[in-house]
Amino acid sequence: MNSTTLPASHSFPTPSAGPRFTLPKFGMLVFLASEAMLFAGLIGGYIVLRIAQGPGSWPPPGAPEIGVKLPPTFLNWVMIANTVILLSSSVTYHWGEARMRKGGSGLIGYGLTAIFGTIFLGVQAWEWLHLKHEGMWFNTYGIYGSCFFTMTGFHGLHVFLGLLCILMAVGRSGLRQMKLFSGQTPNPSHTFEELTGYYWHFVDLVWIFLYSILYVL
Amino acid sequence: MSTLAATHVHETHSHAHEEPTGWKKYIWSLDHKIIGIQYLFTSLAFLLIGGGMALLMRWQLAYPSTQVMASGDVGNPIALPFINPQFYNALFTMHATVMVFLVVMPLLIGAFGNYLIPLKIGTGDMAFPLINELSYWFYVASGVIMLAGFFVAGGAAAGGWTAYAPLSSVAAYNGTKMGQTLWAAGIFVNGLASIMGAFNYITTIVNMRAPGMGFFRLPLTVWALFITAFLLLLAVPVLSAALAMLILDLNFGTNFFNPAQGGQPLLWQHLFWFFGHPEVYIMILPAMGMASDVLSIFSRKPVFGYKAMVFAMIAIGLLGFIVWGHHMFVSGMNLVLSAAFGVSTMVIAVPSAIKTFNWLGTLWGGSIHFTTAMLNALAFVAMFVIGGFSGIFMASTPVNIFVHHTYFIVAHFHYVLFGGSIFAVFASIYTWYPKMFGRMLDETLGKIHFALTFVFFNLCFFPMHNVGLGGMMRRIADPTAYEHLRSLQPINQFITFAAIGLGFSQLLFFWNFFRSLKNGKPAGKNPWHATTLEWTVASPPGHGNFAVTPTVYRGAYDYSVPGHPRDYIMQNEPDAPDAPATKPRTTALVG
Repeated sequence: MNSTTLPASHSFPTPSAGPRFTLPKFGMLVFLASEAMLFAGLIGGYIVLRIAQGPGSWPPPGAPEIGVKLPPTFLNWVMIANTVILLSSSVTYHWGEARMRKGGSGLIGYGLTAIFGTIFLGVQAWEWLHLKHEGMWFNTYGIYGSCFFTMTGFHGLHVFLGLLCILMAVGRSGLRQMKLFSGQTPNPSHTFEELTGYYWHFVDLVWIFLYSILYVL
Repeated sequence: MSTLAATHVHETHSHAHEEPTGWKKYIWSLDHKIIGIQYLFTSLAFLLIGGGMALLMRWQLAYPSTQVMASGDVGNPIALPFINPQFYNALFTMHATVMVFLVVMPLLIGAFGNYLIPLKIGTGDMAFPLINELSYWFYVASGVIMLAGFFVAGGAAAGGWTAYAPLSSVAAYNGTKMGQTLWAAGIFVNGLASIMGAFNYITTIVNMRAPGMGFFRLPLTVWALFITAFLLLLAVPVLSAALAMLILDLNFGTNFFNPAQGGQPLLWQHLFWFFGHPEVYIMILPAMGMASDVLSIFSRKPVFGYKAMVFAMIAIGLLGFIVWGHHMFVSGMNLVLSAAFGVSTMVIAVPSAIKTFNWLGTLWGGSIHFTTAMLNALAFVAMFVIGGFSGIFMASTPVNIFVHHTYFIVAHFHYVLFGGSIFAVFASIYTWYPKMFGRMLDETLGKIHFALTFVFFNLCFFPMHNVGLGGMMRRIADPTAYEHLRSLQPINQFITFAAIGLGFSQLLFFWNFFRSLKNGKPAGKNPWHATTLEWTVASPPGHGNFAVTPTVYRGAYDYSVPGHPRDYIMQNEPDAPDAPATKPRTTALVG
């Protein structure tokens, strides 16, 4: 009995070439499709609500101005900088992963990502408090406040969960670095870092959409 | 043969975890079979709760506690005095919520999805066993959260399972801020469980099929669950977003659904039904898949038009995302848009009819074995057709406006959900119970249960078409309060007696189920002489399912192959080199 009796459509997984995605990576990508639909629901709702407001009533009279102006206001500059920081954190994370794959620890890359992520969340919290001080909150200025705080809140929660994973990755890379210093072989499993990376890049990508519709358009 | 098999042993994902023992096995097992059985028992318990609520409602409709008698006496001598209109509203809301989220979905997807997918594709477990078990406990938690609503001030949510805003989103309107919030939070948690299950199933089916198990050799049960998992994955998060908005509106003063502040109540309907219509197919596609397998096994014939069945399910899944507006024809929608939604809805009748005719084609000329499982599967086809036809009526806007929010709708969705999904669940339980517990269910009791269920089901739900066309609205606590419904009251009482008969017939099933755990005839490996991989291993299968990863040589439906000594060929049986009957097919591909 050999495999030539099998029909032509039949194929065995070839053992030499590893699968393109490991199971956890595949699962994470499928899960992120679901996450994308969550934000699609929120963004879709926002678009419907905002279009129905009619021209000239967005933002509502008296509400704090968060949209980008020319020349940019102080708050505009802060949020532009915050966006740049969050996007840079994807780059630093990628750098950490690249170092790790080459046998390094990736500690600096992951550490910078954690710092950038923390700054982003801190600035978000400052912006929330600033706007609350200006009188804008979940329940004021109609759906203007509702949409802004709900959408940035959902995104902030995702950043927070991602940040917890990044701190975990920093801890793991610290251990790896200690092993490297003492001449031992570091933990060869990169699955946790890879999954965290997918999630973090996804959260950054969502922010590009949120920044565009909440601050620019 | 053994050397061939040995070269394909995969140690990468089977036996990744040890089997726990004792009570831990039933509380925190990572084995997909135990998790499937956990889902099965839990959702059957919720079935009793949801059914009990239905009987309370039926009694109230037949003998309303709010009725004023002709003599001027207040009250109905045999009414249940504790059912007031607010509690009645909570009953129908929670009946639907429990049945949809805690019974039908977990039975089809949680119990049979978990149990059958790894066994049928020939692998040891799901891709992510820990997430699988977490998903089960999230499901249990969601049930506790939802039912906790009955014990808070104001009672459980009472705005219908569709929870239309602003009734649901303004505490002053629904009278139970806490109950409505718990309802939304419960479904949110339930959604997390669904999403965890969905990406687990997709990852498992794509990556962990046994060698030789090509996509077009998968049993239709697996195909159906695969497509269902995509619907869950993409539809449920949209509901989660809407639920978050609802919770914020109720508790934190946001204005998403508050028209006075620029919000839109209709936004809730759009988001809810964007989830809600795929949800309808989430609850019927797995039933279609499992019924296809049962029909094929007990007709001793291959499924007629296997690929057409697969593509029909894919078409139903895709179309399910663009028809949600047909739930909203009376919402003041643009008529052109409602015509578009009507047409897209009717288009779904095409793949549904493909499936129905293929089921008939499967039966045609078969050697039909009228086992209890087969009877239930046949009932599934018949009842699904009735429910499907009334669905086509409703897709047409003018008809819909006439029957909207009447008992005609109630009849329709009970024909697809009970007549469709639950009969398919019974068929599946009778088919796979021997695999799950190693013992057969009692066929005589099973047939009595089937006959009673089938008769009482139709006596209960068919007259609802009539009272619906007679103008009886859904969600009213006392039909006798409306003059135009008083003449229908005898039909309402008839429906109630049928419902009681239907409810108590299920006790036979539960008795059979629990009695057979100990006293059923031992099942053996393959009591139904079926072809798929789960029947190649012991009943119940051991931890890790397959001692050696099976190799698959053929599709899932090689029944009654001409010239073969048996009327079934297992999927892992290679073609014998000198077998005359199956050889031509292989050589035809080459030559």
